[in-house]
Amino acid sequence: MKERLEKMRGEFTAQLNGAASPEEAEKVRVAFLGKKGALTEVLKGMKDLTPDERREVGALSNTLKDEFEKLIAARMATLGRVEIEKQLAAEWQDISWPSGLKRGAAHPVAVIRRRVKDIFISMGFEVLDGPEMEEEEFNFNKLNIPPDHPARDSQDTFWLTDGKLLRTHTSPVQVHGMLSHTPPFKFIAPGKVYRNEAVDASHEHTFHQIEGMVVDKNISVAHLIYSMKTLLTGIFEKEVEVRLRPGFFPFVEPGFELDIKCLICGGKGCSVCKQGGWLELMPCGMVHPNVLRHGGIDPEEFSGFAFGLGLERLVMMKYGIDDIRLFHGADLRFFTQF
Amino acid sequence: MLLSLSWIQEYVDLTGFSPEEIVKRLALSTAEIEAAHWVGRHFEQVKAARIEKIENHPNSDKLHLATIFDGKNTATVVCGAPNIAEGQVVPYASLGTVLPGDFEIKPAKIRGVESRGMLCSVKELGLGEDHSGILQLDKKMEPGTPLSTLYGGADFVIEIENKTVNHRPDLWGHYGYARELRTIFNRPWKKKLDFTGITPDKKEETLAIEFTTDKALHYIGVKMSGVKVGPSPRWLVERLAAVGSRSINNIVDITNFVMLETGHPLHAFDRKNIAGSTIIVRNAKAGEKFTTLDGFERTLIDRDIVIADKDKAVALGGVMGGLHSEVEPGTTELIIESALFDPATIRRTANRLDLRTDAAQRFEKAQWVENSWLAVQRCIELIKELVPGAQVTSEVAHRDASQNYGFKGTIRLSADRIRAMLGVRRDDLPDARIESILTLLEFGVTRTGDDMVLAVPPHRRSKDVSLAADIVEEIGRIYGYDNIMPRPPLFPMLPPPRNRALEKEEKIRDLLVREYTGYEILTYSFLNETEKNAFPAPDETLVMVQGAKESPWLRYTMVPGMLRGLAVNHRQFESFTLFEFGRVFRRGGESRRLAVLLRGESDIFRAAKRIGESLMREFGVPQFRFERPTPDNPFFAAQTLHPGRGALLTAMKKKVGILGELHPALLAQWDIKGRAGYIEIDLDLLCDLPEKSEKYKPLPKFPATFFELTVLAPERTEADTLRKVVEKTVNRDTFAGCEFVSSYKGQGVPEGQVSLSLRVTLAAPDRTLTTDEMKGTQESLIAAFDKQGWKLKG
Repeated sequence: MKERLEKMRGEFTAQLNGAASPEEAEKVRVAFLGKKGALTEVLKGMKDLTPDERREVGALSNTLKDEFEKLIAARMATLGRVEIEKQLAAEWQDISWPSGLKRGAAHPVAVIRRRVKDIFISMGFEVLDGPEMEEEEFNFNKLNIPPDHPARDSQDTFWLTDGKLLRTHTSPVQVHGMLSHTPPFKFIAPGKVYRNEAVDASHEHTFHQIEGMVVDKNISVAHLIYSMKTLLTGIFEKEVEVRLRPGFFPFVEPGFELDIKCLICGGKGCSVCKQGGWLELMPCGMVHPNVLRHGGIDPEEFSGFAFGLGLERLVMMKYGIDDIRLFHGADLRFFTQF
Repeated sequence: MLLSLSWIQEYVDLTGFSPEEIVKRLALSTAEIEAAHWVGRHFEQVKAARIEKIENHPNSDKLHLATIFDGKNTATVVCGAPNIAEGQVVPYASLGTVLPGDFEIKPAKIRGVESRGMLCSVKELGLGEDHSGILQLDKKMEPGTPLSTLYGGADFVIEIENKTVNHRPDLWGHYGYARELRTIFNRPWKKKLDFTGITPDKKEETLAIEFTTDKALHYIGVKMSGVKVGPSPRWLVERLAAVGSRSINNIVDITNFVMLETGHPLHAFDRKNIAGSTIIVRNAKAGEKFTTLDGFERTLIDRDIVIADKDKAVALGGVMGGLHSEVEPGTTELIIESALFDPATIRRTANRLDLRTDAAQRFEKAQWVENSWLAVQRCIELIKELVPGAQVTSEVAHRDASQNYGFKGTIRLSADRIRAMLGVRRDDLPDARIESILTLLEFGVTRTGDDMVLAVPPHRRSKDVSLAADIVEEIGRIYGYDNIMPRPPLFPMLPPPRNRALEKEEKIRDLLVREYTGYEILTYSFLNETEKNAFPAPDETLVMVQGAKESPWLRYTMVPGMLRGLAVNHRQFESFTLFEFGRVFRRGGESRRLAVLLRGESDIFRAAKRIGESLMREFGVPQFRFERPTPDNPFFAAQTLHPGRGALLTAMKKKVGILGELHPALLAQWDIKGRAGYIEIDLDLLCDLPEKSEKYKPLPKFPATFFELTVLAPERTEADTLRKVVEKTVNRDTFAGCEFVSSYKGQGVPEGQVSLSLRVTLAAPDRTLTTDEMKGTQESLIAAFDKQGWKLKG
């Protein structure tokens, strides 16, 4: 019996080493340790032995069983690894091959507009909308620009056959906004505007602005400077130095041109700021009392400030774009860059 | 407009302030500066020098060595000019001189010989284009004399951006800037110009002024005799030249000088060409012809103003004089005009005739009566100074119709109000400083308790200043906006009201970019003839731009823009999605639209439909349908969309959009091969729809069960038709849904038929359905299909 078991160990080792795959190793396991396996059979035949023999053979076969199981597990691990190695050897990927991911992009003007809008919303501003086809009354008269006012010269207008016009600025939304709100209020109004002029690299007849207006008791120039500085710091994501110069716009008094210290040279003077160190960025001012009145607001009780921001200008500064015509050009070679 | 700083300094002493400082403060307090630079600085450095000796250059045939004496030293200069000779007096630029073009003279070795300085040509001195030889000076000129004695000294020229002083009639002459700088730097007057009155020397003639138009506001006419027309003296030529004005003759130059000094335009008529003694200011007759002094015949309209004698027009009022009455070399008697007209009228005439003269530019800004008196006084003074013997030979005739012109009242406000509007503290801007600024600006200041009552000076009240806010600006700009400390406004801490329409637009933008790889473009709102004709619409509903030639119509559909986008890109890119948010216009209104263009998709209609559904989901529209359009739908009638591959999108019974494949004929017209998909959505309509309420539905307690059926039906049988049969047949209580699995034509499907597979799901809220129940439903459905002629497939 003992000899048989010793022999079995030899056979088992030979067969297991001969197994070339986990499946073959499993077959070996079944052949020796399965229900009808060789070793199982030995254990089954123990009832015919004497108690002494039974003890001896029992101990030996249990040792063998443990030994076989360990050997099988080890063999299985080795064979499994071989399988993986085979798979690995067969598999490869060209990691430089494009993923095929397609992308799209919002218009750069829309991207900047959202950024500016979000900053204002975070500061508690409401966002208003207004018509592009506007009444002369709102685009000019109520903004303190009567007929024959020289300010109409600089805003060459697309007059329409039905007597209306295409708004030349987003400022008419100031009047709509005042008429639909009760102070205190603060809102912005992004929108498309039109000027009847020839198109070239730096002039467009169609462009975008964001109008802003704040009305409350005791609103001052100091508040305007603070708000504009905060906004611009938000847009450019760095501390921005601003300065006001007198600027004449009929719907504000006093009116300003707001300059920012050149972000390229930090004010030393460079080609972007034409050596001046400052960049003219946005017209703004304290709302003219006549405009407040046209909006149904008593200028003795309330004051406010308003501003207009040209979006194309900001986008061009941000990306170094030197031709404004690209914005309406629909050319994907441009738009796929954003 | 150009300003000469040395001219300004005739009136106010700005010693101690650098030109750079002056420009900076002017920019921050008054007007935008277009440019500012020195001129003629080199004339103070370049001196007359005598050529003592000329030798040949040892290493060159063309060059010479000139030894010159500049009054102090002798120096040797290498010179290549052919016209030099010993004994000549020539301009000599010594080492360190900077010539125009930033050209600094440095010691240099020319062909091995050192040259200490340079002899100058006309071109090198910036006096002209002549570069053929060295400029020859008068031989009597003392060596060492700077050229500034000939060509004037250095001046600093400032260019004002005109449009930034449109509202300031007082800033169209040098004297106005002197007043401004005097205030900014708090300096005394050096020479103050005041109107003191004009006394005639003789009364040879009595002039009369007559207004027959209400657009004439004020007119002064005065006659001068004993005039001799001739060249202007050097100082006058130089003053004019410094600001880019050419000298013509002494009389014309004086009127120009006075305009550039005071800002008030004058005109001098040759007396002999004015018939009679009455000057009439009237409206032109419609169609009246008039030749202006530039030689062009102008056709006038009845809104133009002319100055006329008893026979004819002699000047186009406020714009330009007439050729016929121009001052000529033989003129001996003048009528000097100093007038004032309705600014808007002048502006209209100048714009219509494209004749934006210096005079028109100033009159349209609203000049003031007092200045017209000052200007005529200055003109007479200067003529008498330059033409000895010239005399005023008439009483000064004038007519005044300016009683309703400009602001006549006073402005009352407190210093506190000014500080509150600016947002500055009393410590920083005390009452005394406010009063001093106003006084320097020539406002009359009277205190009444806390308030100031301000009399506005004439040069500000014709147009610019009439309100308290105007005073706030005066104080703010002179005090310096830079000196105002920024302060945060106080506001209640409330979330702002939301603009859901714009929020949705942003969400759709994200959706189209991220899910559908769309690129957002912008196209113009204008349509040309071809584009308009491609999309017929009743003309009376369209809006046009007045006077536009190329693209007069406002778009009423987004298709042309998207087609432009397709045309620009289809040769470069195989597959892409474009979209645009924009507005379309009709008489009476506009609406917000979204357009999407699809290119390169394999199943274009389905791709378009998928986007349509996505949009409905994004908008939370509870019910929407894709409907086959009736042939009279404009998009289909106009052959915009493929008749078999287009749909109307309706939501809550409103037509919110169209989608499908673009009509092949339309693409052919735009010379585009292949197919493209298109979606156009009315965002205003969509935003008005109620949003789906988001409420939880309990999970079913009993499991659902399903079966699949495949039927053969005639071609072009729609899924919706099957669905309707299913919905009608299956017991409503157990029907839980119907999905379409596949639609197939080809092998195994007879010609003219289509194989459609669908899956029907059944469930009951109160029990698990039995196999028999399911089979029963299946059988009744097969029977219902059979009745439609749709046979169960194998």
